[in-house]
Order: sequence, then C-alpha cells, then structure tokens
Amino acid sequence: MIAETGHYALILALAVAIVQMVLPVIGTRLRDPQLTAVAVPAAQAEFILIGIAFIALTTAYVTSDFSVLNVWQNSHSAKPLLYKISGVWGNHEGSMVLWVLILALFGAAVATFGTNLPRQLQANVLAVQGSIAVAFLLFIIMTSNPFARLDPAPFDGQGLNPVLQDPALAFHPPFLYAGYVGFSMAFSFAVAALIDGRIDAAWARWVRPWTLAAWMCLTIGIAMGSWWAYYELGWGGFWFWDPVENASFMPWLAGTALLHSALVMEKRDALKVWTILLAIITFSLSLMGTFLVRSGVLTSVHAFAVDPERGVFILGIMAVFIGGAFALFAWRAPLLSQGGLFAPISREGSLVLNNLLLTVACAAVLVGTLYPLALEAVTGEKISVGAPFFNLTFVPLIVPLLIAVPFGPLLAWKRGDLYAAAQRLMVAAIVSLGVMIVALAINQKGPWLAPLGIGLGVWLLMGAATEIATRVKLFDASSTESWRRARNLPRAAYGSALAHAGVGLMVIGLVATTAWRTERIEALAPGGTVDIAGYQLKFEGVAPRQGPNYQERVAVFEVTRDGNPVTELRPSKRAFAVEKSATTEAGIHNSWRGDLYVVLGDELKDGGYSIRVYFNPMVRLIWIGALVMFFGGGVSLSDRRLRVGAPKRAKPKSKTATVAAEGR
Amino acid sequence: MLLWVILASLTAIVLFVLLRPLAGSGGSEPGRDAFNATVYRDQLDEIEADRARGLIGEAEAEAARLEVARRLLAADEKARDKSGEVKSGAPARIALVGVALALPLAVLSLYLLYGSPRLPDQPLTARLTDPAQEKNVGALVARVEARLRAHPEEGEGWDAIAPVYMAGRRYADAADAYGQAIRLLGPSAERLSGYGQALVLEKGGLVSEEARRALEQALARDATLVEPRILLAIAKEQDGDYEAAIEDWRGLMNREGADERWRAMVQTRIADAEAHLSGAPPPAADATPPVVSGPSAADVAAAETMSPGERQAMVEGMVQRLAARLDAQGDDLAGWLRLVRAYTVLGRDDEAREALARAKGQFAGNTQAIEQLDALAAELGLKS
Repeated sequence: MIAETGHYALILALAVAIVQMVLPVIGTRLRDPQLTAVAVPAAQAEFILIGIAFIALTTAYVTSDFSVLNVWQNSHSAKPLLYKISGVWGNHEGSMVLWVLILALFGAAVATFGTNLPRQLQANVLAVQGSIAVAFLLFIIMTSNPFARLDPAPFDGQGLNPVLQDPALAFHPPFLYAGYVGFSMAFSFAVAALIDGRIDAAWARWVRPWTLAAWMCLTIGIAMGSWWAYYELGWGGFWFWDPVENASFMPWLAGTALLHSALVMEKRDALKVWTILLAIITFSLSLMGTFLVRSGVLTSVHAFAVDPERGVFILGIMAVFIGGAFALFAWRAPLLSQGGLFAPISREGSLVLNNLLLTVACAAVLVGTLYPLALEAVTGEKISVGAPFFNLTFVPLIVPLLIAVPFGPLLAWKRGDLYAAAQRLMVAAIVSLGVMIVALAINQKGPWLAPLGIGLGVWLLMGAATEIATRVKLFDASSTESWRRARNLPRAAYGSALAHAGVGLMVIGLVATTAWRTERIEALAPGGTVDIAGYQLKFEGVAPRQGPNYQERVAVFEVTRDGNPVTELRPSKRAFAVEKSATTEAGIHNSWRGDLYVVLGDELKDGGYSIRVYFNPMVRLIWIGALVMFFGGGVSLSDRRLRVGAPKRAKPKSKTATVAAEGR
Repeated sequence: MLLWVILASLTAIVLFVLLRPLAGSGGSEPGRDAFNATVYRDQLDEIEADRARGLIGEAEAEAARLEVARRLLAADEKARDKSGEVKSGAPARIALVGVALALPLAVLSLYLLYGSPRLPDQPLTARLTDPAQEKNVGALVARVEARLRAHPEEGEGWDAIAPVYMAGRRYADAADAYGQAIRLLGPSAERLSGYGQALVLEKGGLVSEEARRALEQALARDATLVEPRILLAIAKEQDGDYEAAIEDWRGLMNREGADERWRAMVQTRIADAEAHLSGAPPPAADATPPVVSGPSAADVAAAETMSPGERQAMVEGMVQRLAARLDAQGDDLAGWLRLVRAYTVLGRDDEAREALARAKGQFAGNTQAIEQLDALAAELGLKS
C-alpha cells in the first residue's frame, strides 16, 4: 500500500507538473491573474507529491520490501541502515526520483518565498520548472520506474555495489544533484526572461543567491566524490579527468562564471544578456552530465545501444531543452535592454575576464570529454584523453585566471585603477615570491614548476587577505577605525575573500601532492618494515574480521617516527559475499605535513603481502580548500542585504537626471 | 480498499489546492514595473545605509544613487501608464472544468497501466514471522540465512540449507554451505558428495582436484552413491583416461537399479569415449552435448608435466585454437558450446558473452540450437 501510494503520487505529480507548465504561461499571455495564480499551489503540490513518492520508496528500502523490483535489485536485508537509505539513490531509478525531488524543492521555494517577485515572472519561472519536471517524470515513469513490483517477491536482494557502501558516497549524490538541479533555477529565470522579452529588476536579486546555493552544493559534492576516490580506490589519486568527473566539473566551471556575472548584473545591472546565456549554458551542461552518466554512453558507446530507450529519451530531453533555450535566446535576446556601461579596467571588466577564461577552460574540458566519445562512435577506435591533455589545455587557461583573481576585488566598479590595485598587492606579491624561493631552496631537484604553483597558491591566499585589509584600511587608519570597519564590512565581502582563499589552499594542496608525493611498493612478510618520508612502518600481520555484511582481512602497521610511536594503521580488504566483490580500505594517517597512506595488496606465495605505501604532502589542503570555498559561499549567502555596486569618481552625466534624482 | 480511499483523497486534495485560484473572483495585481520600483527603492535605502556605515564614500554614494534613481524614475513612469490590467472569467472557468475532469482520468489510467494496486507491501520482517509463509521455500531459506548470519557456527543450519542451494542452482553458496557443514559437523558421505558436486557445477562441469578428493572420500564412506561415480568418470575423461572412464561407465550400467534417468547419458558417454580411443570423431556431435568435452589425450598428457602457469597457457592456447577454428567454420554447435563454457571457466565472461552472441547469430533460425545456447547461458549465469 505504501509502495502503491508512492507510485500513484509520482503519476499525480506528473499531471500536476503538466498543469504547472501550461496554465501559468497561458495566464501571463492572456494577462489572466487567475490562471497565473495556479503556478504557486501547483509547484507546492508537486513538491509534496514527489516527496510522498520518495518517502514511500525509502520506506520500501528500509523495510526491505523485495516486492519492489528496485529494492530487490539494489538492497539486501543484511546491509546497515545507512546504506539501505543511501541505496535509494545508489541506483538509476532512485537517483532520478531524487533528481526530480530536488527540482520540485527548488520550484516550491520560488513559489513559497517569491512573494516579492512580479507575479508574471514568478509564474513563467515556475512554468519552465514545471516543464523540466514533466520531462523527467515522464522519463522516470515510462523507462525507469522505481515502483515496478515483483510477484512473488524474492526473500533477499542482490545488494548494493560495495564501493558505494561508504559514508562519503552516501551523501555525494544528494549534494551533486542539488548543484545540478539548482542551476535549473537560473535556467528557468533565464528562459522566463526570454519568454517575456524583459528582465525585471528582481531578476538578478533572485538568481544570484540561488546560483550561489547550487554552486556551494556542487562544490561540496565534487569534493566528496574526489575525497572518496582518494581513500577508497586505493592508490591515493583524487582526480582522474574521468568523463564522469568532467561531467560534474563542467557545470561547476560554468556555474562559477555564472555566479560572477550574476554578481555584476545584481550590483550594476550590466552583462544581462551574457548572464542569461551563461545560465542556459550552465544548466545545459548539467543536463549533459546527467545524460552522460545515466545513459551508459560513458562505459562504452555501445552500452548506449544496449539500453537505447533510456539514452534516447534523455537525449530527447536534452535536445528539447538545450535546443529550445538557445533558439529562444537567438530569437528574443535582441529584445533585452542592455544595462550599465563600464570601462575595460574595472570590477566589471575583471569579472568579464574571469567569465571569458572560465568558459574557455570549460570548453577545453568539454572537448576532452566528448572527443573520445565522438571518435569511438565514428571510427570505433577507443582512445582515452587523460591528464596530459588537460594539463596542456585546461591548466594554461586557469593559471592566468588565478593570477588575476586578487586584482578583481581591488578594482572599483565602473572604472578602476589597475596601478593602485597593483600597489596594494605589492606585499602579497613579495610574500608569494619569498615562498616560491624557499620552496625552490628546499626541493632543489625539481619538478621546476612546483614552486611556482605553490607561489600561486600563496598569492591567492595573500590576495584574499589584502582585499580585507584594504577594505578595513588596516594600517592606514587607527586600529579602532579598522575594527569598526571590519565589523561593518558586509558578510558578502568576507564570503568572497574566503572563497578565493579556499582556491588558494586547494592550489597549494594540488601542486604539493602532485609534485612531491613519494611511493613505495614492497613485498613484506609479517615483521618486515618499510621507511617513507621519515616514518617507519612495521608490518605486524594480517587478521580476519567479520563486518555487518562483509568479511575483511585487516593488516596492522605500527608507525614510528625517529623511534617514537606515531599511530597504528589498519588497511584492509573487504569481501562482500552477497555482491560477490571486494573493496580496498586504505589506512591513512594525516598530519600537517601530509598523509601517510597504506594499502594492503594481494597475498604472495611465500606468505608475505604486497604493500603499497604513499606519502602525499599537504593533500588535505585540497578538501580543506573546498570546504573553505563552501563556507565562504555560505557566509556570502547569509548576507541578506541588497547589493548595489557604487561606482567611483563618477561625474554627474546630465543635469536633468540629477534634478530628477534629487526630486525623489 | 484502503488504498483506493487514500488515492482518491490524495487526488481530491491536490485538485482542491490546484483549482482554488481558478474558482475565486480573480483579484487585481500590481504591475511588474511597480515591483521594479520597489526593488530600486530598496537599493536606494541600501546605498544610504552603506554610506552611513562608512562603507562607501560620499561621492561614490552620490554616483550610485544617481544611477539607481534614474532607473527608478523610468519604472515609476511605466507603472503609472498601465497598472492593474485585469481580465478574468472565461479562460479560468474553462481551465477549471478541464483540469477537474481530465486530471483524475489521466492519472488513474496511467496508474492502472503501470501500477499494481492489488499487490500489498511485503516488508521482510513481517514476511519472516508470517506463519502462512511456512511452506514457502524462499521464506525458509531467508529465515535460515538470517539465523546463520547471526550464528555462523551452527552446522545444522549449513547442513540444511546446502541441498536447498543446490536445488536453486546457487552452486557457489552450496559449496560454501557444504564446506561449513563439513567443518563444523565433520565429514559424511552426503556432505562430501554434495560438496564435490557443488564444486563441479560451480566450475561449469570441470572436476577440480579438490572436487575429486571430496567425491572419492564420499565414495569411500558410502560405495552405493551414484553421483560421485558419474562425476569421477567424467574427471577421468577430462584427464584423457578414456579406458578407465569406460570401465567406470560400464560398472555403473551393470549396477543394481541402473536408473533410466542417466542410463541414456552413460551410453552416449561410453560411445563418445570409445570414439576418442579409436581416434574417430565423436559419432553424435549434434546430439546432447556432453557435460564437458575436453582436450585431446596428448594435450592432457602434456599438461601433467607442466607448471600451473604453463598449464594455464596451454588451456588458453587450446581455447584460442578452438575460437580460430570456429571463426573459419562456424557451423559447429558443439564447438561453440564448448568455447562459451571454456571462456566462463577461465573467468573471461565478456568473451563468453560475445561467443554466445556470435553463436546465436550463426544459428539464427535454428530454434533447437538457440534453445541449447540459451540453456547453457542460463546454466552458466551469463546474460547476453
């Protein structure tokens, strides 16, 4: 009964979404407030209905109701509760339900909190959200129904892929989807503006915070994914330029660009058309990410043909939304009024540079992701485009951007003074140069680019500090004055400085780990030792252990440094009987210097084991950086003020305007 | 019944919420430019607040105020031009009736198409304690499995569940369960025989060294058992020792109560083995395929003296030769069946699937051959 109620609610949600898609648009065309007003309750009802479906599915998972096909395929009665729940989105059907649930959540938020939006704008936005929901609900119900039943029901399920039975991966998809789907808000606002042929003043005021929230979720989602890859896949890598990763990274790059251009639009009423285009691009990339991951194209172009129904359906959804939005853009964008003007050297100008570099970098990733697929489809030849390609294309684009980052916040709106900004950054430049030289002196035998990378990271950190210091007039004014200014400084300013500093931390972590990691692969018998990066590891032996739904063999390592005990590491290999597969759990000891990372390999003939030991210097900074970025976004989001960018040294343009303004 | 009440009330509530705006009188709303003007006024207040807090200087505040004020003025003018344009009536009523009729109908028909309203929920704990499930093998298995997970040291449980696994073709589980039962309760003829059979079936018909030991031990304890004899004879065939195999088969045929079920099979195998001995091709290659058709005697003899690695290489080589031969002339069904099985035994499932698919292509239209291929795929657990 619960399962069937969920199924019915899902179908009812589809019907409500159709109403939500159709009536409000007719209403705004006919200027009929009654039809327009349907949008709000429809969006709310849709969220509640999909919520009922989601809860029903979760209940089926938690109670191990194997009469639901999806539960039988992806769960097992012996699984811990956390993974029974995360199993809901650990599979294709359930993850699509989560996708539409988040979509409906965003729609309901616009409906509920959008009272300060013009009615017609709100109705059009919700109608566009509704159309996305219709497409995906149809997709779910017709090709990937999670409520398909089994009769008679089996008595146990087939289990969840063990590599997914992990805390980080349990929460990785919800964050990632919140990011992907969050960009649908910007998309809906963009399309609504195009339908109307006008951009309301409230437009950017709404788009920027929602884009920021989506960007935060995507940031943390991607970081969780890479963190998981780092400790679970067993060789200490954290980013593989794998198409699945790129699929989430491209919307992130475009979303970062969108975030910055929406900022210009909110504060200065400029870059309107570009922002709208970027909103469309960002969500299109999110859709493409969904398509790439969900259609089976990635495992092989041929896998796509194995399950053509789903792939073709999502391809159709993509074609309609991306094609439709771009066509609408081409047709309606000329109608949109251009906003404020600005000089090339200005805050706006720097943000345009940011957008330019980010979108081109995103295009480079796109080519690197799609080219192998296209080649395989056309010639059948399989090639893999990996780190070398991206090091040659993506990195040269992103490095100038990172160098430019500290300048941006120091330039004034409308027209800025590059020379003054450079002067303020002098201290930051000297410090990073110093760090560069020190890094070079410590690691005399290359890689030669690594110290430059570290310097770049420090430059970003110092740049963020300089921004705050300048704003509070540190050392320029009395300390009480600086303190007063620091307290009054808008949280958005702290947020952006934090986010930029987070990028700096991440750069340092990336460069240090990539350049200076050390690695030992040894065949060790119990009692053997291995030395790495000043640590000595003594292999004590391997013992079996019984987990809730797996058996593992745990190796014990006594770690000492200069004879002093440091810690005990227990890497293990887990065998999952139900799923008939195994996972590797690395043993990791983290310190400020870096991570000591031990992996238990196969047993050798002579009773020893092959052991891999890595030392990854400062690797934690990568994820700490992502966390700082996330936190910075949160700080900025908590700033509820309206943002107006005050231009500097503007001369009154015309007398009438001045008079009119004073007359108010 | 309760389900229908829930679904009907859900629909009714949704319809009520959805259609309420359409049934009302349709109030007027402020025009969009009025909203814009509000935003601009808010922005002016914000600039003033920033200036008061000393975040921006006088001159900057003035410049910003100027820009915003210009926009505000334009918006205000437009808002005066057209405020509160309201039409209402006919479209809303049409939508009201349309949605109220069409929505429940569409939802209900879609639900009846995809849903299973008669199927109750079946949470596992309820099913396991339900006495009505007493006779259901699946329920019993699940119950025993749950118990064994909690108390893996209870040999009786393993002993009871092992034959059930065999019947359910879960050979790996069966081998594991027999192994546990032997460990905990000690070996018996039945357990050893079952263990050996499970190992053989798990390997797709290949009698491994471990399986042979178990089967021999089983026979040593109870000489009346038939299954171990059959499998041991097959093992001898696999080793190329056809004479001994024929002797075994004959022994089986002459036993009391030789069973009809396997009499025919044994006869075929005798003929097969004799053909091998005389060097002629097997007389009935298109008949029921033997469980395992092995390499030539010379190959096996060579294999005896090899290291495991070399033996593996030899097996691989034979499989390769077979594949090459089938590439050249593909109308050999027995050959295909052997190739698929060999790939599975080697753990190369993907290639097994590919071979299966190609064989199916080769014999498209030959229902009997397709059936045999499908049966093999099911037995080996291959999904094409």
